[in-house]
This record gives sequence, structure tokens and C-alpha cells, in this order.
Amino acid sequence: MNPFASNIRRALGVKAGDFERLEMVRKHLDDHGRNLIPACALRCHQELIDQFIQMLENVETTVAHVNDLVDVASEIARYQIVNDLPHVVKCGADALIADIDWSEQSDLTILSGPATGADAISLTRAFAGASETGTLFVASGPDNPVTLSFLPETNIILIRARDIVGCYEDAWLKLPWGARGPQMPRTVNLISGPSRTADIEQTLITGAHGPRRLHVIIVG
Amino acid sequence: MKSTARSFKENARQALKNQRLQKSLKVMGRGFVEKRAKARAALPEFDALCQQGQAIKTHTLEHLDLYLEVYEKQLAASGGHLHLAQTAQQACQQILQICRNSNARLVTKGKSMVAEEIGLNEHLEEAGLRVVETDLGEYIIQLRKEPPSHIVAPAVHVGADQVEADFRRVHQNLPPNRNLSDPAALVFEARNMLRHEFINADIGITGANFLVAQTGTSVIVTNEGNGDLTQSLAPVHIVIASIDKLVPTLNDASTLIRVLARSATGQSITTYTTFSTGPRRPQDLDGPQQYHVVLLDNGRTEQLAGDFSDALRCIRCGACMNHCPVYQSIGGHAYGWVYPGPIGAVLNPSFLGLEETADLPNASTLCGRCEEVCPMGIKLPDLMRKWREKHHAAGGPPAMVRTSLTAWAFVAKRPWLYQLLTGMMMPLLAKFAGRKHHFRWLPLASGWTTSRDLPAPSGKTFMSLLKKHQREGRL
Repeated sequence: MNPFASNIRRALGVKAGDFERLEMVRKHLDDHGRNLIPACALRCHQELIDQFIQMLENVETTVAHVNDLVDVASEIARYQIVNDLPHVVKCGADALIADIDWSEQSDLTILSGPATGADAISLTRAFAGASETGTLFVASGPDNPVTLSFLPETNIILIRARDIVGCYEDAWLKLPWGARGPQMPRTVNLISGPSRTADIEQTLITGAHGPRRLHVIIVG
Repeated sequence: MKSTARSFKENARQALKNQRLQKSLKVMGRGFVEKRAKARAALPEFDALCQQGQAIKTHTLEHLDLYLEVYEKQLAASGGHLHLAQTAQQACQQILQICRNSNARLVTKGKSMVAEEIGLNEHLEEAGLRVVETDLGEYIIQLRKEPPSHIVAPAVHVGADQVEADFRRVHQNLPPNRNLSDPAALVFEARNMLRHEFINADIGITGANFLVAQTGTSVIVTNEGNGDLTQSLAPVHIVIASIDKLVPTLNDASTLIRVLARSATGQSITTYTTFSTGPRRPQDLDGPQQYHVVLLDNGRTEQLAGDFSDALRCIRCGACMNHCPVYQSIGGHAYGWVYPGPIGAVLNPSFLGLEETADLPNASTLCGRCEEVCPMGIKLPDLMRKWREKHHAAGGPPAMVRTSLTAWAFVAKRPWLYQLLTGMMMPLLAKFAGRKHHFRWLPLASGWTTSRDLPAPSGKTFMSLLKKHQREGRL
């Protein structure tokens, strides 16, 4: 018996096992009801992708849209050359990333595993993107070790075009669901841009403790 | 944190005289206000979302016992540990015990107002632990041994040159010729310093913006990524959160997230919003091995039953203080405890008692801007008025104030008498003021006239002018 719950019931003047209250809560949890969804999240898919890109570019993020997975390796190589970055990426065991054909990028080193302080560039994969705010949903796990999203100076995130949805509520649906709701990994990171701070004199600085650069590659 | 709310008046006087602070408050200026207005204008559904957010919070608070039980079950199912702390002292002890159980020496911390509320750092440091704040603003004020002056931007009162001086004082091996003259260089320096701490930490402590009952999840919102490094690199992650952070579902949290950052910094969403559920999974390659949630009551259950339960809806966005003319003039430290601004004036008396904090609900013109911008629709002016009533009923205000108020109330409740007296007084005051139309000094009103002149009445009362206009058929 949770003593806090009994104290709260006493304060509210209600009894344990009050059927109506239990029903109310059960319904609220089981209905998976949605609250108001902003109209900007209820557009056709092409508009959602355009908005997704626009919102990310508004927060100092670069976005590339490639037609096919075979184009990803060359896009990463291009990005590294343009930004004068080392030709190395670290990634997890994500199936989509595993399918990338690196054979044409012979000078690119692919490392795998969680990030250490020494890793400069990470490649992760978002299971969903919400276009209402240009937000990438990344689930931690062996596929995407969570440290890859925060330790390296540059984070590249891969997302399939079909995983871009309008609102957060639709993004949650992309996780595997059980009876009560989505089966949560240890962390779901909602990422909207490179890390930033305005803690000193309200001056916005891109690149605080997390990545200083964020590049998003949309596939398909 | 030790309260200095009792000396609010003196704190405020000092704040007004403090030119450095006044400069920083000016830098802060209307930045937050304009950014919020812009964010609100960019989302047509903003007001409607706020109303839904309020309904979610009210529904949750009315069923808090049940959602707490669901949360507890889900947290346990995901492998997390729940610790219930009735008081600040208990919460500190529980957290210290978790640290001791893993022989911890270094603790990294994300930003948490509840941790400030319970005085966590002092408690852990007294026990011999090294505690490092990792949010840049919190890190700066920790170096300065100051409390936060704003709940979203804790170091808003500090200038860049002061930060430079602090870094040069504290950071060893910093070459004297290193350029630290602008915020970007300072951020880079702090980033490099804190990297080692993240990686070497034994314990990572964060707060929570929300706790989701449906999934047993804690949520933090940050821009810097420090909270994520804190909770992902240390082998033990402790969340310190109060019971009012509970929301039923991920969808409910999503609604509140839509209004939180827009109200706080004017961002459509913070750079990082992180949902954490349990410790690392067996096959995971990183993340903490233990996940503890210390759930704090500290008088909130009592508040739930009382006159101030609406304040429990607060999501700590800081909009009320950003828009408050009093906060804008004196900053956060003058309020003397963890929560500044209008929400502090309502919360702090509950935590510390009225005797300590009676000046806070009085430090308001009740202009209503805080209520207007509160995304959770908390009627802050009404709640401040309620504290004033309680203070009055308890015999708090000095005899002079009480007698004057009683006399004024006697007159104000009798319109004929009020009009008679004001009708006599106004021309008299106008005559005394003369051609300057203001008073440099008035008996019993030196509190006003020492720092500014009191405008004099024009000679006629509103009621007499109204009657005159009505007679002349102008209305």
C-alpha cells in the first residue's frame, strides 16, 4: 500500500476503491485518447516533409533528402568534406544503417558501439519524426546507443521519409505497442536541433554540452 | 536553501541599488516576453492547448492517488526503484543512501528546482561527496556560491565578464592569455571542463518536468544536452521529482510539451525532450544500470486539500516572472527562496510559512499579467490576495496598517460616505499640490514619496465627473 496514495485520498476526501474514480482513470489510460492536434500537423505527407525540413533548418540543422539508401554513404562523405570533418562515423546496430553500402567510400571508417569522448561523428537513426516542430524521435538500445546522440561533436540522424508524421502522438505510434501503451526503451530522445544554450547574457550559442552540429538525412 | 524571504524589503532595496543586477535585468529585458508572444502567434491553437493542459492537470490532481499507484506499478515493471519522501530531509537522506550504496564520490546534476527546494547539494557535500552542476547557468552560480535567480535561466543576473572572472578563478591550468571575452568562448570552456565530470561521475541526478503514469516514465526538457549526459554516462541515475509532476499518458505529456517551451523561452520545443523508463535493458550497450525515482511530497498533499491547490498545476515555465514588473525590477534573489516571481509569492508561503514570507504576496501590484500568460491558468493575483487575507486574519500586518485598512473598508463599503469624503478631499489635495500637480512629500506616504513624486488629483472625483457628463447629456 502506497502511503502517499492514502494521504492523498484523505486530503481529497475520497475512498479507496471508489468505482467511479477508478473507471474514470482506467478509461483515460485505456482509450489512448488524443487531445487537440495543431492543424499544422494535419497536412498531406509531402507538406509534412517540407515542414519538417523547414522547422529543422530554423534551429541551425542541415537537412539532405536522398532518394535511396544507396545515396546515404556518398551524402555522409560529402557532408564531412564540406565541413572539414574526419572521415569516420560511429553507429549502433540499427538495421537500416547496417544496410548502407559503404563500398564506394573507401577512406571512410565505420566504427560501431556506444560513444566515447574520442568519437567525433555519430550516425543514428530516428524511428519517427514529428513535423509540427521538426523533432526526431530516437530510441536507445543496441541499435542506437544513447551516448551516440550526445557525446560526439557531430550527430548525423537518418530517417526514412515514411517515418515522418505530423504530430508527437503519431510518432509514439511508431514504437511497438502493448495493451497499456508503447513499450518504452530506456530512453526516447526527442531531438530538435544541435545542443544550445542562452545561459550567458541571453546570447544563443549553438553547441553546448551535446553535439555542435546536427545533420539529418531523409531517405526515400 | 536558507530563506532570506523575511528581509524581502531590504533585499529589494539592495537589488534596486545594485547596478550590475540592473544591467543584467535590462539585458534580459523584454527578450522572454517578445519570444513568447511570437511563439504564441505562430501556433493558432496555443490558447486552446493551454486550456486542455489545464484540464489534464486538474484531472490528474483530482485522481492523483490512482495515477500515483499506476505510475508506481509501471516504474517497478520497467526495473526502476521508487522512494517516497515525505519531507525535504527524507529526500536528501534517501538520495545520500543511494550514493553510499554505490560508494559514490562524484555526482553530476542536471537542473532541478526540486533539488534546490530540498537543499540537496549542501546535504551531499556535507557528507563528503563532490557535486557538479552541469547546466551552464547552474554551473556558473555554483562556482559563485549563489542560488538561482530564475527558474529557467538561473544565471540571468550574471554578466559575461563575471563568468570569465569565475572561470579564471576556478579552472586550473587555464592559460592567462586564453580568450574568454565572449559567451561562445565561455560556453566552449565550460563544455571542455564538464566533459570529464560527465564521464567520471558515479551518480547522475536529474529532475523531471513530467512523470508519465501510463509508462512509468520521467521526462526532462533541456537545450544543452547536459541532462542527457548526466543521466546516460553515470552508472546510477536518480530522478528527484515532486508528486505534482504526474500526468496520465504520453499523449497528455505531448500536449503539455507543446505549451511548456513556448511559454518559457518561446521555442516551439526545447532541443532535447527525453523520456526515460527504467535502467538500461539487458542488451543495451550504455545507459545507467540503476534508475531511482525519489518522489517528494513536502507539503503538497496538504496543499491539494487547501486554498492553493491550483498552484499545483504549475509546470515551471517562468512566464509569470518574465512578465512581472516587480520581478523585472528586482530580479529573483530578492524573493529570498527557491521560487521567485508571482509563482514564488504563492508557493513559498506554503513551504516556509507566512511569518517568513508575508512580504512576498504583498510585493505585487496585482496587475494581472502573470495570470494572463500562465499556460496553466493559475489565478496568481487571486492566490496572492488569499495569502494577504490569511496574513490579515492571523493578525500579521502592523496595527497601523490594520487600523487604516479597517477605516478604509468602513468608508469603501458605504458609497455615499466615500463620495462625500473624496469629494471634499480631492479639491483640497489639488489645491495643496499647486501648479506642479504632484507631491514631493506627504504625511504617512513617505514610502511612496522618498523614491518618486505622487501625482496629485485633478480636483474632481470620477463620480462627480460622471454625473456632470450625464447631466450635460454627453453620455
